[in-house]
Amino acid sequence: MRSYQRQGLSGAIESGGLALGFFVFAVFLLTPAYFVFKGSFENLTVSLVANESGWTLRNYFEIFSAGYFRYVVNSMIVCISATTLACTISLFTAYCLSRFRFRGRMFLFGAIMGGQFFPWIILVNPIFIVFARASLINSQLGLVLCYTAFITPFTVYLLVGYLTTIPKSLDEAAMIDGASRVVVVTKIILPIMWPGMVAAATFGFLQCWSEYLLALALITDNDLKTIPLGLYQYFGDVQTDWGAVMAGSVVATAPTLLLFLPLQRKLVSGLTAGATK
Amino acid sequence: MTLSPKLRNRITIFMMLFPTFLLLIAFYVYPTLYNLQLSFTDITLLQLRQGGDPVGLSNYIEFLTSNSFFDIALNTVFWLTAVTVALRLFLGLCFAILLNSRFLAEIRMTTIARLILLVPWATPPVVAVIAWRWLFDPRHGPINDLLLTTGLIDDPVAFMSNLTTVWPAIVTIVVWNTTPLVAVSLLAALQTVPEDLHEAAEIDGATRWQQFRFITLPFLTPTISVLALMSVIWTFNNFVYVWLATSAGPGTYTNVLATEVYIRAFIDLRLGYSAAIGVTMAVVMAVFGALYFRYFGLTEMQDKVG
Amino acid sequence: MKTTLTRLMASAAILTITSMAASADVELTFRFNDSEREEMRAALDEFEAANPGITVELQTIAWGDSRDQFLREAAVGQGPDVVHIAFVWTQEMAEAGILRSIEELEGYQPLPNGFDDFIATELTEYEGQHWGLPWSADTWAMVYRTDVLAEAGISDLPTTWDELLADSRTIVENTDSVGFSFPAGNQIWFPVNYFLWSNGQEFISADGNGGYELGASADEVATAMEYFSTYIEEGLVSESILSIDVPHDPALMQALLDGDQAMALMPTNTFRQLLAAYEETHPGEDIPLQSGVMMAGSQAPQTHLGGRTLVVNANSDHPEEAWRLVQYLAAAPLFENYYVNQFPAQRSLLSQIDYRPEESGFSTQLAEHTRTWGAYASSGAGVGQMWNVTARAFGTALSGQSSASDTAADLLEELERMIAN
Repeated sequence: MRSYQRQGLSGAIESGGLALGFFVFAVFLLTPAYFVFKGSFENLTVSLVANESGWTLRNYFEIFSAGYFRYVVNSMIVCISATTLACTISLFTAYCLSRFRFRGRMFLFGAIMGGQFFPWIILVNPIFIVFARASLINSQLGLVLCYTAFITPFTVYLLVGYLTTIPKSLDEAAMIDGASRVVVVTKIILPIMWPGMVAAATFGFLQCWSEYLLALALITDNDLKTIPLGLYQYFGDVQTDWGAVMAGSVVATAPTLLLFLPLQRKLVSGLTAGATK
Repeated sequence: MTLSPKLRNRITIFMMLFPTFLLLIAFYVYPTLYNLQLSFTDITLLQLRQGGDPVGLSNYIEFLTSNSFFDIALNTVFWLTAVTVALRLFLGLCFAILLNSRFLAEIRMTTIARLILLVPWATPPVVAVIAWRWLFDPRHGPINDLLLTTGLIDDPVAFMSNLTTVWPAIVTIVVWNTTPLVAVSLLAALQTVPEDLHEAAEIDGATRWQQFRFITLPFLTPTISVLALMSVIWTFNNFVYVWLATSAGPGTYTNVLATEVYIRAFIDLRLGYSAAIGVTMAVVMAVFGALYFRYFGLTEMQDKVG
Repeated sequence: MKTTLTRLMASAAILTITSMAASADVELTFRFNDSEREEMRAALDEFEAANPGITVELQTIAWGDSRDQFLREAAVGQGPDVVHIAFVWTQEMAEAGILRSIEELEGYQPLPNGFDDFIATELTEYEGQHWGLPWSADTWAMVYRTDVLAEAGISDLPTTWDELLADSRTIVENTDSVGFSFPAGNQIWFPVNYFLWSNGQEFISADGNGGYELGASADEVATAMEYFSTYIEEGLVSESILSIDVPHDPALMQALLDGDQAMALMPTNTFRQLLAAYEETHPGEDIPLQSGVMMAGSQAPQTHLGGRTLVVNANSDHPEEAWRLVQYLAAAPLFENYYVNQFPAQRSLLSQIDYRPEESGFSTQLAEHTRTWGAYASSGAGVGQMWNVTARAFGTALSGQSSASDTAADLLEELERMIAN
């Protein structure tokens, strides 16, 4: 309304500017992905230039007959579990940090953030040793816990940020009506939190989705491997199967897009509920 | 038996925080302390079983006085972190405003635009690097083709090898892969801005810039400061992009702290030495984080918005 | 070959009987990191059929990460029973105490042709014992586009580094293609060593008293840097090779396929991929690709004898069965039926390999002009670390960040420090 009702020249310039912006946006973000997508349907062997024109499904047949679907399923299991777990515990933690005033609150908050200060690559060996002692090598549970810990600091921080935009009067009113804190979080806060939750979940999921080094150290059993491990197998010591890499990349990207299609709508509907007003 | 409200509150607080902290202790505190201990030894991956000998501060001294330290630090702070974080916040804000605009809704592109935004984000870094390296390729890459046909350059540029272009090329890859996170977060924050505030401002005759500056931006500030801090921390600690794009080369030209850690730990197998670099990095980030909190702290954010 | 097979089958049969009586089901894990996974699975199925009571799980992880992963796993008492590693990792893994020695394993069942039939056994030696069975052998050689050479008017293949440079200049002058191009990133390590070796130098050599010393002067290393640098400075190749780490980089492979590049160097299997790709794009045509021996300097050409070793994890609960698997994997039928792209690291088997005519350069190279890393490995400096600092130093010099003489001096100082440790 506010922008589009503007008439005349300034409106036309603004629309033109936005259209141009959208064009640049789409080209910049899509070109590399388009290149990968195109490559996945081409006859690629030793190079990224197709051997012959025309498209083929060969690359897809190749990766699926080599058991790639299994990796997709494993990645789904691990990433969805870790994201759900992380978002759940983060919601309560974030609520707690933003609504209660208690001693050591800032310290705890700093501690959560502090976890991120250490470069991850260096934690690979210590975590491996801990996991080996706990018999959590080659275990999906182990990887789920690891990823949950991996993404929790940020989801907490993100959710604390969103909670500051939600007026406290809302939960106070519910408390006066006799609702417990848990009910307040799940019934009052959560529905308003959807944009934040979706953003946090998207972040967490994608972070897990492409993680390689920890998965490498913790999962060696072929039946439990995740997509990045499967993808890296095509980078050999003296050769790379580019067709398989491209098809594997598309398959790695597609599920996340499909998964977030419905969530994007949720994000919008959570907003139009107008609970913030 | 009834509990006093204060005690009940305490129990609630404890229960709400407990799972998170249990996880953090197991996955951060313990490994971090273990690493701290390793950093004072000469342990290598070959002696993981026997353990290393204590060497005091010599790992730290070796690293901080090495010839390459200054270059590595500068690369990390300026190119890898400052430039990419600034760019992605700026671009992320532009994208978020674009996606939130009426214009996109009018032409029914909002959902498509959101999906487009998700594409780079969902692309694993290794794939992003392969695709960009090929786009940058002097012989086959479309970028060189474009620049040559438009006459902007006369000879193909080897973007990933030329010392003047290699950093901008890496920055492009990082920004491409990571801006969507920033954009999506800012978009979600933009949508919490109550529409009626804008309407009221419009009636009062505020310009678009004033509306953005005094209504939208304050709502975005908490998110922006979160994203800035987190982006700095991740990027500072990230080795994937530089490693996959240039392996820290040509030579050591694009070496950063995180790739140095990787090289020392995973190629030279010197766990103790790489742990010392890691601890140094953690200290730098902790100091940065503390300063950041001091100026853009949580309490202030809440005062502003809550 | 027939006798080997018969003997092996017979011994396997005897072993099977004894072990069936003794042990319940045994599960082995074999970590194999090459791309021939389907073929290897079929081979393992055959092994399982011949050895009831033993099942083998096949694991694969990326080559670049497999060294770290096994070191980590073995240090905490885990890891696969049989592992496929690079020649040059054997000694360091023995030093880490995570392998079983061949001498111990031969106690279960001696090798049919003896351990001495294997090549490069000195690379598996640590403290008087041997710790791995050399499995496959490989090296690098030159690869040429004969049609491009002809177009440029070059009738004889170059034989020395100087001729290679001269021919590159001729090709750039007379055609639209580049002459010699190479990966100037990580794997420049290989051509650099070939250059030094063919001039009677090496980075580290034995000093004759059981110690080790630098085997090249700063001037000599700087000469090598300047040699490779010339190609970039004179515009004979694109500067982009500085960010190319491996010979199978898509840009290099495509240039060879298109005839945009006339000369390259690469390992055997990369060449085979290239041949296959060429056949696919040009079905039925003559293949204008030929391999040749590496360049000579003041002395004969030399390349490294690379390859893979099979080792048994010290943590394995079933060393006897693991050793039986190793012996099965090292026998002739495996290389004849399943692992056909690889060359067995055994003298008695190597001589029986049939090469395609295009591969003659590789066969000559492997048979007559290879050496092992020798003092690099036995000095304890660590081939991996030397490789890393050398490739970085050359990258620094070739990209023009500092002069060849300064970089060479720094590199040798670093290598000296490694020897001292």
